[in-house]
Amino acid sequence: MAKKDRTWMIYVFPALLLVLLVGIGPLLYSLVVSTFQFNLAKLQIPFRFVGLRNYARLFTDPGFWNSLGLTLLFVAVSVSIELVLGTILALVLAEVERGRSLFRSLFLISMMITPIAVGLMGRFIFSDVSGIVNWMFRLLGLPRIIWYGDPRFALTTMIILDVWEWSSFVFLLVLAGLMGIPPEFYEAAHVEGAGFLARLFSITLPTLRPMYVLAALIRVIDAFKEFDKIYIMTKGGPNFATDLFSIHNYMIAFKEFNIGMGSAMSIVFLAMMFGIGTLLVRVLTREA
Amino acid sequence: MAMRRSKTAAGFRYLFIVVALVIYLTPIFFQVIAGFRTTGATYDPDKIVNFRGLTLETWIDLIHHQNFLSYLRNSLVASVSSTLIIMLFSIPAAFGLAKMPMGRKTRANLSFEFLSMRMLPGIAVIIPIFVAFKRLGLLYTMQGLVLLYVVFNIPLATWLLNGFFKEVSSEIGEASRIDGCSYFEELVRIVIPLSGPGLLSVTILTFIFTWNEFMFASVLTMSAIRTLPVWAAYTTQQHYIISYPVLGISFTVMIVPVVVFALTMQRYLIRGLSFGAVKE
Amino acid sequence: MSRKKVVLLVLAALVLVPLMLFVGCTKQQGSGGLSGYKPKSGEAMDVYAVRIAKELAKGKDITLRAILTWDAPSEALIKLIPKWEAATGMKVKYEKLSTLEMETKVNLELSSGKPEYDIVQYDKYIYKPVLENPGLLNLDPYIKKYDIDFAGMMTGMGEWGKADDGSNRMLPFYWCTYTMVYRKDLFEDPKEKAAFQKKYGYELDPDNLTFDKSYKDAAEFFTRDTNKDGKTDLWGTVELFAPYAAGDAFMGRYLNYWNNDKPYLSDAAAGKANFNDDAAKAALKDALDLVKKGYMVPEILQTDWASILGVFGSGRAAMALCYTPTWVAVQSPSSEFKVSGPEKVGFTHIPGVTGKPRSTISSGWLSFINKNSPIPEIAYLFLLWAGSPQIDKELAMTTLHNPVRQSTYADPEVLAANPTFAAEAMHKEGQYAVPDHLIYAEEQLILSNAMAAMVSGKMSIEAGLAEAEKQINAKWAEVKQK
Repeated sequence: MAKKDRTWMIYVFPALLLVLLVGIGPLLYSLVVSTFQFNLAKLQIPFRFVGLRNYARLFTDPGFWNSLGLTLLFVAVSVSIELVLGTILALVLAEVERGRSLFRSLFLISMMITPIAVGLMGRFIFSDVSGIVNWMFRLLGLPRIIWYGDPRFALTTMIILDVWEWSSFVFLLVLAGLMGIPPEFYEAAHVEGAGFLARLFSITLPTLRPMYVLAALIRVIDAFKEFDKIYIMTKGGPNFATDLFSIHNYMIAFKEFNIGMGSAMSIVFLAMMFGIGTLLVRVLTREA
Repeated sequence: MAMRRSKTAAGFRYLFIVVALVIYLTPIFFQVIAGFRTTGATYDPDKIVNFRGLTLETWIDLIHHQNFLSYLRNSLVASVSSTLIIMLFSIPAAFGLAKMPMGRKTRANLSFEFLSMRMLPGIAVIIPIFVAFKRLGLLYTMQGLVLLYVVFNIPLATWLLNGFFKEVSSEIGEASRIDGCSYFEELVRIVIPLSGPGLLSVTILTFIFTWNEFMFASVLTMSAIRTLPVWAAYTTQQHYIISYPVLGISFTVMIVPVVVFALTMQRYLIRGLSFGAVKE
Repeated sequence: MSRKKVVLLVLAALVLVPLMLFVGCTKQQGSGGLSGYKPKSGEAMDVYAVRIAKELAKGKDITLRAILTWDAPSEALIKLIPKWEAATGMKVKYEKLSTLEMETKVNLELSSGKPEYDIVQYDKYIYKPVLENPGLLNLDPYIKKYDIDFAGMMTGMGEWGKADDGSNRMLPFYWCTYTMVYRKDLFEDPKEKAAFQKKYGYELDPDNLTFDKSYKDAAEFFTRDTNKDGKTDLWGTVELFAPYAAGDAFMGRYLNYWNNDKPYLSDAAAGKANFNDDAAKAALKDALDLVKKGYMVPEILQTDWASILGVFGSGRAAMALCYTPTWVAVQSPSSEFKVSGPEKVGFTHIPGVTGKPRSTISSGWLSFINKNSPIPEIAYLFLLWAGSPQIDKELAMTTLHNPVRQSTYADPEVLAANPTFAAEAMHKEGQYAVPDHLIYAEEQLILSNAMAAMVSGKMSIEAGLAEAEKQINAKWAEVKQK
């Protein structure tokens, strides 16, 4: 067929249009508004064009850098632990024959629970009065830790919750990968007398590399956007110990109603996500 | 000798899994069980593992005095309607992307378009959407919420379906077209039936994403269309005390569909959750 | 293809961006004809309000739309709404919002230029930016026509709803003060009293504690291991030290240490913080002493208005400081809380400071009417009715509602029903309403973060106060800019 067939447009365009309209339109609004001085609640502050001043203010605000640093720390630690735990779990479960489906189903649950519900659950179990965690600590004679109420441990609490919620994601990916490794790979190693650890590091993990990259990238993007759990547990406190990027952004936009600066931060957020996301897409399309 | 070793190894493995499962499921268990206790009991440090006196009174109170069933209904309506409409738009779109002829670059660009929308943080668009909805009279209406959910979930649904549709062999489709079938017939008669499991998984995942959504629902709903996650979040502020039983109940209800789906359709879900990387 | 996309995008932008950029254009609506109804002689305010509202609503299908709070202040009112509906023949459709979402939704509503509700109840804590919003109806003409009698309300309430231009835009609906609750069974136990007297050399008097001496001694005295398992399970006291709430704990103390010689916390006119002084340092030093020595509950940094009741009610603290409505749940014996009922729970004024007059914070809720409401007069009459002495008393007799009328606080029937009111009426002359700062909420967050830093030892008191002052001044600068 020499003529370009354009019937695909009828199929694709409705979805695309809908997405562009309600997805892109507001984005452009945010972009425009980020160059204005605009406070929704305090009308004493005049609404006027200020160019890039919101961005300048943002980049010189220690709170912004604090939230960026905290988010990077949160993402790095959570995702690393998830990768390790998920792998261990997958290695163990790969050899198990009976009940594997059941275990997989059970581990799926934490990924699919509403993040808000996970946060509420966290509030309950890490509470000093009512929580099971401190009860166990008391039982075992461990020191009393005030989890999300102590600036030193609040971020740790969030990391623990995130690991609980998402290790299964890595586990599932790695498990599938493991089961796809042909046994011939191992036969050669076995003949050469390689031990378990050697096999692990020279064959298993390298073959699973694509899975790890995929898992890492997806988790990194979602962990960066982390909002629900933190909002419902500490609102960014105490003393900004859990003031992650999205929380900081939310507080500027919805507590102070500084829409100008809030939009600026959203645009920065978007740029960062886009950068990481493009990487993700490139990896995924390479795999497909 | 080797058999004994592997039996011990297997034993250790099961032990490890059981321990892991216990640690993993304990928080869920405690949260669910809290729904059956009284507030006073949950605030008593001596009764943390003492479950005597389980009661249904908080459940009854919520259903009779606090509109709990209507929040459940709202969540169901929002999720089911959104999912249906999303499928209506995404299936053709994914079919177009996967099966219909177009420039190679076009195909790649469009796929990227759809996937990249997932990077969008909700907070970047929530205020303009609030204002726009207000002007259009969509604020605090179920239609508006559903529209928003549809728009924000089409990208992922399309991208996942694209992956599933690509697997359906093109040869059958081409053969049918030689026989005179239209693209539409190919979609309906061949691709959809053959990608049944994948379709199901995307439908379920979409349902779960809309069921779990919090940020938009918190800004764009009032009590008439309030959904479960929003209610759960705000109920912690009620009457000067956080009621752990109420928390437990909202948690339990919110995870019911999740658990049901997880136990019955895990194979399909894993495919979808891993962006199609895990093919079973 | 890409050209098509660009065209699509441009079209979308051209349609949507202008549509959304024009926010906040409120339409001017006339206030409608005000007729000259006068109260009949001896007619009670609530009867009067109902009578006129009924006449105004006659023959018309009126629905009054209100946003009420999810919390206690409105629960009592909601129970009485059917009474109003039956008497006036109109419907009241209300929406209950939690405080969390109230701020967001109300501000978004007002900014969009077309609010959907006639009446909105709002927390004084966050109300200043809203008070200044041109979307609020100027109530002066209605107050003149149907006098709400500000003089009969608790001290200074008539000033609460005044915007900077002097016009009344909000009416007080609810009032509360920051008070103390304590373990009556422990404080009044003769054995405990004797032991206290022996150890500290004076009598333990819960109604006259001082932050700088007896409160600290009492906190030390009551921190103990009651079940002999080697671990402390009762602490002397608990206060609000969580984000946002800690500002209250700070203010309650500061008001007792200072000399009432300047606007407290910040000078709004000058736009700068002025709490960084010796009074603040002394107040914080005594507070931090208690934390360091372990006389406050260990989870003090996460205790806020939603959790302090649980702490006291489960028996973890012998004393607690918070706004009165929080404590109503433990007034009568309840199966929910170990510590409840008049035998175990006592209410009193917060501690003072040796040699200084005793002070505390007062706050409350107010109601406003939207400028674009089609039924402003009827809305006002509803508020008049809700704030009338008769309804005020009726609301006070149900639990959880704090009245606004002095007559209600003096009524023995009411005091018998709710012992917390007696505590609130103590030292009336020393009550300071939470300040009317445009940046009050931000101020509170900054203060509570500074306190968290000081409590966890990250910053010294001097550094913490200086840092808070710096940040608050920056916020004032933002607001004062042209």
